[in-house]
Amino acid sequence: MLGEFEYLLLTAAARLGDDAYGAAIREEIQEATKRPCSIGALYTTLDRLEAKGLVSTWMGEATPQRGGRPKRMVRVTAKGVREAAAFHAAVIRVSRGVSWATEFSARQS
Amino acid sequence: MTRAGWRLIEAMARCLAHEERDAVLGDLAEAEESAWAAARDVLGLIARRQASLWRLWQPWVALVGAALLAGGAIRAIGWRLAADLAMQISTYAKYGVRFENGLTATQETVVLLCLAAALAGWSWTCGFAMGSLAGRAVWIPGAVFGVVMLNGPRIAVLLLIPALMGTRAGLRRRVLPADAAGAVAAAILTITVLVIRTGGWYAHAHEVWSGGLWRGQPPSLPAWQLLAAGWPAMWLLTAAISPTKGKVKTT
Repeated sequence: MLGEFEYLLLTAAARLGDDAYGAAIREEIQEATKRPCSIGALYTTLDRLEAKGLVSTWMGEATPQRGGRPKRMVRVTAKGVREAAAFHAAVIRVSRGVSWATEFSARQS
Repeated sequence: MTRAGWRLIEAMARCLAHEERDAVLGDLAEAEESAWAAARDVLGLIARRQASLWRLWQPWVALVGAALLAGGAIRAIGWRLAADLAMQISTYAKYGVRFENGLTATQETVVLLCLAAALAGWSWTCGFAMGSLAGRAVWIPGAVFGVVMLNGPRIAVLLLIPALMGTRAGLRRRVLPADAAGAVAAAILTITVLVIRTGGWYAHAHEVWSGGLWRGQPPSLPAWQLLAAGWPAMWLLTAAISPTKGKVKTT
């Protein structure tokens, strides 16, 4: 079972697709959670996910905006997609019928 | 971010692995964070990386086995060299003659040279073991080794030079080729045997000098000190010839 932050990271990376790399994932998580995401948490979690085979990472191209430094690119693996889907399904199941979930659904519709 | 702030962040990031350093500095440049926020981020990542390194056994062996145990033994043996040197130098300075301890001048020179060579060799292998075992966590065992030496005789400060050279070599190579490791271990073993043999000259000379009164005195260097100072050389050889080639998980 994934941890909460692992799920956030996987989801952000999946949403970004080919543009998923450290800074972009961090920004995506901060925007979604409205909370700061530390680089330490991001990179150590990325390592853990890579060790579990849920993401693959490689060094990408350098850009002038980054001072000529390369990006650490991220891709969610098939196993990562399955784990994230399982986590999401578990959250949906466990949230069924609770007040905040029904209020959220009502607001969405 | 100011240029000075960025320089500071870059200096701190040197504690990270090369690729990670590039990725992190690039991310920070892109995020255009303040120097304080960037410093906090980099320090946080360094702390997490260090904490994960210390979950492995290797840095602990480097700290306890090399820095404290071997370092402590080297320092203790260093006292012996310092005491002998000080006695000879002060006697010569005061009276213009050599301090008479039962040894000839040649014997005395050989004893001191063997001891100095052994201390330098043990310090190098101890530094190598620290660098090889602890990897990026080496700064803690290294600092402890430095403190141990600085609390010893003044001459022990000189031993920081071979120890630093050994640490650099250990960080770069992690494991020596088997033939090089064999040569280093053989050299350390030879010099240790010479230290034991020449140490015996003292015991004999003192026995003669005291008219047999000091017969049966224990050897001047306890076996535990020699073993503690010498184990890094044996480890270096074992790591080189083991099937896993001493592979460690440290980054």
